[in-house]
Amino acid sequence: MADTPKTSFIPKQSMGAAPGGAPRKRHFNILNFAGMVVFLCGMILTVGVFFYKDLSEKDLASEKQALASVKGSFSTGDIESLRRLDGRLAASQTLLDGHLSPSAVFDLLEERTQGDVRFTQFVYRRRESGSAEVALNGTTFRFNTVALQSRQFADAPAFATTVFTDVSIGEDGLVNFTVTSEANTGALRYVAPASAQPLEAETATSTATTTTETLDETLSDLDDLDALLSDTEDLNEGL
Amino acid sequence: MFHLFLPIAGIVIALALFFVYVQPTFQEVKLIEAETAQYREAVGHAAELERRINELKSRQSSIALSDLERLEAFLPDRVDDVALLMDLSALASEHGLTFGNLNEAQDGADLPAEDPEEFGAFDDEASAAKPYTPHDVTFAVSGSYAGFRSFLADLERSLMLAEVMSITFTESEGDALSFNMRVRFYSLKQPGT
Repeated sequence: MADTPKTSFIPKQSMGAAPGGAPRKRHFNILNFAGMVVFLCGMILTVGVFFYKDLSEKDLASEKQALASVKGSFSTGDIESLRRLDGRLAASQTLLDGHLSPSAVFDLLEERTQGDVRFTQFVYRRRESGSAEVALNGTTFRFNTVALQSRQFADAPAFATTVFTDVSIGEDGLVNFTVTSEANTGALRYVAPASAQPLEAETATSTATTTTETLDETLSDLDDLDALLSDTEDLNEGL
Repeated sequence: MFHLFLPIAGIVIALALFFVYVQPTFQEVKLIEAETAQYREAVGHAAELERRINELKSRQSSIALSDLERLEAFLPDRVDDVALLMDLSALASEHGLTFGNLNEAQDGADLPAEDPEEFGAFDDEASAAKPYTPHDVTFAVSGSYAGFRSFLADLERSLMLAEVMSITFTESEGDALSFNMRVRFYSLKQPGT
């Protein structure tokens, strides 16, 4: 009690002591507490969402910039050029696969025509479907020769089916006949000549074959590239 | 009564903030994030695309220019009719043949086809689906059989692909024969056609 200040005319009572002698009772108000918690949560959420939005917007801007930057690093001209080359390769390969050599028909006729057979008309026609037919009008002295000629053509590799029709004796006493043959396109398929140092004109097709094979292998990834490009373009358009 | 006002006001303000600002903003952020994810995916694709393009370009540059030129000559962007005529005429004369009766048609309509459906006019629908355009040329060459054989052999091996669609000839008096031919040349379709 030595530390208690002394007063002179105010009632004699220590300043540290509570009036009435007993400490005041503090009430815990649940509503106050809940209100404060809810309010603080609301404020924290508000501030958090504000900054979160700001961060997201910055992130989006950054991705947009990254896309523009990557897109600027390659030109559509490069892609078009590669696509064009790919298209040329594919088309060339298709055309080469269907390229026929009618010379093989003449080779066959030269090899297998009977000595006393004379052909008076020759027609070679390629159908739009890719198949081909050969029609010939011929004359000879005897029916037997026609039969022999028929056998010669029957097993000719360049002819898939051969039909002899219109066999008749003409006014001049010669036997006339017509041959219609469905060409075997497999046997007529063009085969590039194999030569070490060929002339340009003679090996153009073979060079094209080699080139297409090489390039086709080299650029086989272009299909994937197209898919990738398509995906990217879709996304860009969508955005 | 006053001591109830503050907590209730706090709750009301918090709820108002939540419904007026937090929730709509959060929805907005979700949309932004979805958009960001799409952009991120696009960036990934574009980066992959760039890598592949560079890879393909380097591979392309390793191919001999002469091979690429030959490929372009094999299937050109367009068929030069005048050059074609001159080439055919020169090739025929090289083999001792007389060249004539030239007739060109891109759609095959005016060709003297024997059976238009099978052998003549192009099928427009089928043709449209193909990456190349056919150019038919009919002509006649006159001369010896041997000359024609060598002419035909050279035509088959031509640098520019020449597909022989028809050959017709009949016997004639003397050595000279007249060979009627229809030959198809091709050009690569232009993008977008």
